Amino acid sequence: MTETAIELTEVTKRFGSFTAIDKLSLRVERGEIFGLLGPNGSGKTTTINMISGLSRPTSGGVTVLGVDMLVDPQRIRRSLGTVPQENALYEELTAEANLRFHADLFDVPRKGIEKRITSLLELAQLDERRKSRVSTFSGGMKRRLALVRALLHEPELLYFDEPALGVDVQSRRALWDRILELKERGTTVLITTNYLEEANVLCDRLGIIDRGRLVALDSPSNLRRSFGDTVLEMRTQPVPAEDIVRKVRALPGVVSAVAADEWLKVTVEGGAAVTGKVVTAVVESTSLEEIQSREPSLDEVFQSLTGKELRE
Amino acid sequence: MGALRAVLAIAAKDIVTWVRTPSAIAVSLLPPIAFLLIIFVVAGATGRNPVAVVAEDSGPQAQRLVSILNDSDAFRVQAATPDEAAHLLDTLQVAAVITIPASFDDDYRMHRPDPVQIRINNLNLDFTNDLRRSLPTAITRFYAGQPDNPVMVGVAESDLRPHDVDLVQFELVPILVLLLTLLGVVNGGLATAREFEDLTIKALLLAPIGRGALIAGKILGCWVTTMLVAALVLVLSAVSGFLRPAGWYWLPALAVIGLIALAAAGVGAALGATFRRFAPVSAAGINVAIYLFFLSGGISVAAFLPGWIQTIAHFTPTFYGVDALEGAIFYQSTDNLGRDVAVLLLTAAGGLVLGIMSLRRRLVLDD
Repeated sequence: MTETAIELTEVTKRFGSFTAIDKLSLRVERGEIFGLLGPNGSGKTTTINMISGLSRPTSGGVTVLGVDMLVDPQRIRRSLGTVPQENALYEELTAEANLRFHADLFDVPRKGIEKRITSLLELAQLDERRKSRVSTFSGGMKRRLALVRALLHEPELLYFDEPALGVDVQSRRALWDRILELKERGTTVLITTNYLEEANVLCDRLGIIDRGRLVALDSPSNLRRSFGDTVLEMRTQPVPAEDIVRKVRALPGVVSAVAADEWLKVTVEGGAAVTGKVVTAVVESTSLEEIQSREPSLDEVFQSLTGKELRE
Repeated sequence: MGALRAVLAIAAKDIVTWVRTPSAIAVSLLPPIAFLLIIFVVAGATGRNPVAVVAEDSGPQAQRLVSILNDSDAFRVQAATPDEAAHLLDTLQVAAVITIPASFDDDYRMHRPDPVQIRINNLNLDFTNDLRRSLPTAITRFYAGQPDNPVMVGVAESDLRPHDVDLVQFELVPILVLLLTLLGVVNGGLATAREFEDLTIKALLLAPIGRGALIAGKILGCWVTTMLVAALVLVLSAVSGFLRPAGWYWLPALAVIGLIALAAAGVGAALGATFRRFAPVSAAGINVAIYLFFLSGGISVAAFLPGWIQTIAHFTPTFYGVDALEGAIFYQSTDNLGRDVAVLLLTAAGGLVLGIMSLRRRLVLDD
């Protein structure tokens, strides 16, 4: 059995003259939770469509669970569970009927299906609502049902599009726990998200995609570190002048320095020594009212790589 | 086995969804019900006109004429005094007042002219002409039974068909065809469009089934829904006696119904895949079905329509469906059955090809 769950090799996808994906190469290992991040229109959906066989690459290769997508897409779909952003549940059917329909589509053996449906509904905490129509469910209930539906045929690879979308804070945590449990059971999980906390909590590795190209690929902590190890936020009186910003930016170990209102935000690499030099330089030039120190956020990494806010 | 299971599951899911979607049921059932009501009202209004009969003479000849008027297919007779009759006419409760004068029997015996008077509410010409034609017909019948009948010219009728068909019964066939086309086109369309509108199409496309199984499931679901409703309508019609094919004529009737439903399901799937939205599919489906209804001779007989409409009607598949069903249900005739079934078979094949091609094109997210 191959150790690679998904492998994209020099994949390009064009729609007419527009290149949506440009020579994208990517590897997702079995058993990991891999997050694909990118602003709207970056090519995430196109990439996922190619991985799930809904779209064919213009050039390059897509291999999923050791099978070439162009050769045997049905075999791949049998091993792929999908939770689309829009849930794709039949609202007029009951929760149970939705699962039964999915079992029929995936030709899940009839023997034992009742038990499996019951256990999945229990997992989704929907066993008491099994006979209720999905149209009466809340967003969180629909999301949980969509998740267990994707698990019904016991997929080796689960694709989850925006897991936290439309889910309240309490349900979100429960949903993340379910996803982490899946990883523990050996399921490979691919998620796309615009929610960095989610990526941070769930993902072993992240791929950041922008304009159809992979701009970063690493674990969340490594990605943050690559941006610097500390962010200093300093409130000064008066507001930081441009010459102070320039002075700080020129110090060795400073990755970036930006002034916004009365705050000066400095990202540094090199630990306490660099931090000390930055603080000294600021105190020499102006009055330091308040100082905060923290790790860089994924948001900042994302912004520095793509030049955009993630939710743009 | 897996493909068959998926086909049946998709079909069953679409049937359940249809049953649980009142708007879809209303869209496909309300137009035929409306036409049915119109036919009942029109048949009631044009079949027998309400008249008041004032018999001022109580002699045997006058009473015989009253009896003939009572038995006439043209009138619903209400006996009245002159004052009552005038009131009934003024208040639009009757369309005319027929007065048999006090001297009727005497005049008859003396071979003097018998001026039976009729006062008509000439509301519109169609209505008025019915009354104008019907009273002389009743008087002709009055004289026909007399030994000294002065009218020597009679009518010898021979009928092309084995029996008369009531207007309402006759109109039920095109309405049944309208119901079939509406159910097929609108339900096939909505079942397909709903997958795109609700984005559930993704769940189907991500299942390990071929496009063929998906399309077969959609068309089968729509066809079965249409046939279930048709079966219910046929059973009700047969029990009530309105539409009851005799003996083995049930078979061609059911085959024709099945073919119309199949063709409509294919066209519906094509519409659904083209528009991919509930509202335009409903609007287009209703329009298509109603145009087909009129062109196939709904509310009239296609053969008696102006030549150019007849030409169009001959290119309208439902025209052949109506013809085949009329032959099977009313006249126990297979005269044109071969031609009609051949046209419907071709239409069903065409509808299916159209549906399959449209769906196949839409089931790719690439372009």
